[in-house]
Amino acid sequence: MKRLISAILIAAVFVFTACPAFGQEILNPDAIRGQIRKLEEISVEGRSVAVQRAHNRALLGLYTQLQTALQQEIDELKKIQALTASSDTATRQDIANELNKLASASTETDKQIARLQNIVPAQPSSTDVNSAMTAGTPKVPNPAGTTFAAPNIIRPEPASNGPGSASMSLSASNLVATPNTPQTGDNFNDALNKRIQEIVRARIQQRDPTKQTEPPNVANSSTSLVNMPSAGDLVNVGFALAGLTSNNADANATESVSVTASAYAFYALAKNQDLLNPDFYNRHPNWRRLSFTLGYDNEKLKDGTTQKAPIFGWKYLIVDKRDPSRRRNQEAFQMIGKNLRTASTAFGNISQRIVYSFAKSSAVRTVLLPQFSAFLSNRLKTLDANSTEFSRIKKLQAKFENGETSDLFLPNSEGVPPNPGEPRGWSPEELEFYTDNFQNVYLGPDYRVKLKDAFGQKVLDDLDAFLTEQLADTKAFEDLSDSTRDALESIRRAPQFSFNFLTKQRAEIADEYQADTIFDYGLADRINLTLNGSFLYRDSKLVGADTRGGKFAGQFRFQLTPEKLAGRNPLFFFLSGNAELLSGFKPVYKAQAKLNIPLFNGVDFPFSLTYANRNELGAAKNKTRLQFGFAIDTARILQALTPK
Amino acid sequence: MAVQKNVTTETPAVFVNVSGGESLRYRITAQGAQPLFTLVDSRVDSLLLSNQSAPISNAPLMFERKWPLPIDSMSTATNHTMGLHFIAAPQYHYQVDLMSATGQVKRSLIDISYTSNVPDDVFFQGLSVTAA
Repeated sequence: MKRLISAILIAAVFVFTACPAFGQEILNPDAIRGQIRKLEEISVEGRSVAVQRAHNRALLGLYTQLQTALQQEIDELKKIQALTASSDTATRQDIANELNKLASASTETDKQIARLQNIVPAQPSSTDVNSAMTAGTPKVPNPAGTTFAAPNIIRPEPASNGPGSASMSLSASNLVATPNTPQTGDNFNDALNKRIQEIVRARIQQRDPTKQTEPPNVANSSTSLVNMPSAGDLVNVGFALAGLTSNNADANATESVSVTASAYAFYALAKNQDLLNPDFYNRHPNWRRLSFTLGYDNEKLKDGTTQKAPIFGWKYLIVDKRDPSRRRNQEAFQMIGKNLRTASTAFGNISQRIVYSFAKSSAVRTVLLPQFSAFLSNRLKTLDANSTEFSRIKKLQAKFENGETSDLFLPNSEGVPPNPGEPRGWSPEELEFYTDNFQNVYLGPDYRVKLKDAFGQKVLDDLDAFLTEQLADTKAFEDLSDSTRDALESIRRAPQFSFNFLTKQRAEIADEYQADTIFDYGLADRINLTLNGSFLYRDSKLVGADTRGGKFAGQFRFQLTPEKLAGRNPLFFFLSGNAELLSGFKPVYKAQAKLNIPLFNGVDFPFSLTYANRNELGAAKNKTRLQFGFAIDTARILQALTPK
Repeated sequence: MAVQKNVTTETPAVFVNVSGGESLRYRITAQGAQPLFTLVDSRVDSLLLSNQSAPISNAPLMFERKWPLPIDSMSTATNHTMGLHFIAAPQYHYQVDLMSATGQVKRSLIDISYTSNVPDDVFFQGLSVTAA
């Protein structure tokens, strides 16, 4: 059945193609238009390649005939116009109007021919294209390597339908209302747009890598000596799975687990809201300042047994200057805007100088000037002989006749066409021709292939050399890059200050209470410093054995890989140390190196190596401990799992 | 550069018959917390449109500009460059249309969506403009 349909279609195409061939002496544009209309009514969508090719070739043949017919009519009218030069104004006006219509139709036909030439594969046998071209017009190579008559490239189709068009439905951006799309989805689009705005703003905050996900430092087996100023947005789970000490007998002796939940998580649940609803998230930032921690620490006692010591705590973020909407961050955005404008201007000027550098190339001029001559001849046919355009084109043609084409398409000292008032300005025809027949033909997709095919390798080599020269000064782009980096750093490095309270309850020995002030600040690009100042209180079960003291801890955080808005955390390296002084005890000093490896978005693997001058039990042994675990940030996991 | 372009139409250059009443219409839709873009006429170093301009619509956030306006300095050949910054806006949709003297869309020149999740990404979309 398919074969039968294909055969009928091919036969129909053949009939429509062949019939006009028998009567070419009668080229009536209306009749040809009728044939084109009938042929276009035949749908070949979904048919075989052979049928589609035959269909397109038939159309191309008819359009080419139509072009010839239109040209004949233009010629006839020009003759009539010349014979009626002395007739009344109305008659002359009618002829001029008719000529304009024909010229417009000719231009449209050229477009169709160009379109079909791009569809129909280049074949040596495509004589139906070339044989019907206007006699005497120079044939020049087009970017695809085929040949065609110069007048047919006067108005080429702009480059369109790039590779991205096939995947339009996959891009959220295509859901945006455009003037040419139905407006039935306006509400949806409005909501979608607002939602995306909120998501992005929320993500900047949700992705802050300084939020603590590991067990707090009150746990002996924590992988961190230092507490961070802010907690996760929803619920964080930290596991310190095992500890390897220098004494094998203590291997895997302790472990700790902590769960930290923000007040925001409880509030959202109470309100029955989606935890990551961007609108809700952005409207309640203060609920994320407060968080609660619950966990336990398995501690080894002197008798060799272990006890599970529960940990409770809360944290409040007092100062947070990393909010992107703060005024200090807006000023950074303004600086980016200023530099973006300068860089855009620089980009445009460089682009223009390169575009018009081709006009000076002898290889390009050799090809373009004959085309321009044909362009002028074709244009002249559409104009009233008394018009200013007519006389201007005549002057341009005289340059060809007199061999004075050297000042055509000549850029000024800045490398671009002179502005009005400057000497040797480009005529409107030069501007139009260079735009439509050089830039749009050769500087679209695959421009290097097109340039090489049309003008040779040397033009590409010259282009590369000129580009290098033009990009010698890239200050505008560097400034833009610097201001962008400054803005991002400004947000990342802005200070945070919080208060933290933790307690560890023990069945034996002493309960522990710790009050921290925590400060985090960016020292340099990708380097942050966190400081903890703590008051410690140990409430002993024995009368009179309570101890008090203080602890000071500091940590440098080095971001080893760049941060992105999506995906895993960067890789971090930490160097930290603390000093703990308690009444009745010898001071304890610790130093730690830690690497935080991001496994997935929201799951990190921290492992640390800690050296202490004495262990938790006060003994000057087991000084080194290797600790590792997992840190889970549920907000980021949910963010990754939530459909965009 | 990790900017993803979804191209419907892209034209490197346009000739605008300004004396015949033709004009260009620039339209950009931004999605994100803080759109950051500038459309400049590079030859005369003038700002045509930016995120500081008054939007024609807030939902979606859309900006529009006709060229030339009476205040615009004209040059025979220039580049109208759109600079897009993705520091706090992951998506832009940029359209340029050639308008006839009667205000009808004569031809779509640029119709592209841009997406990036990398905050320091920047993209420049140039359009070479000749006018007479």
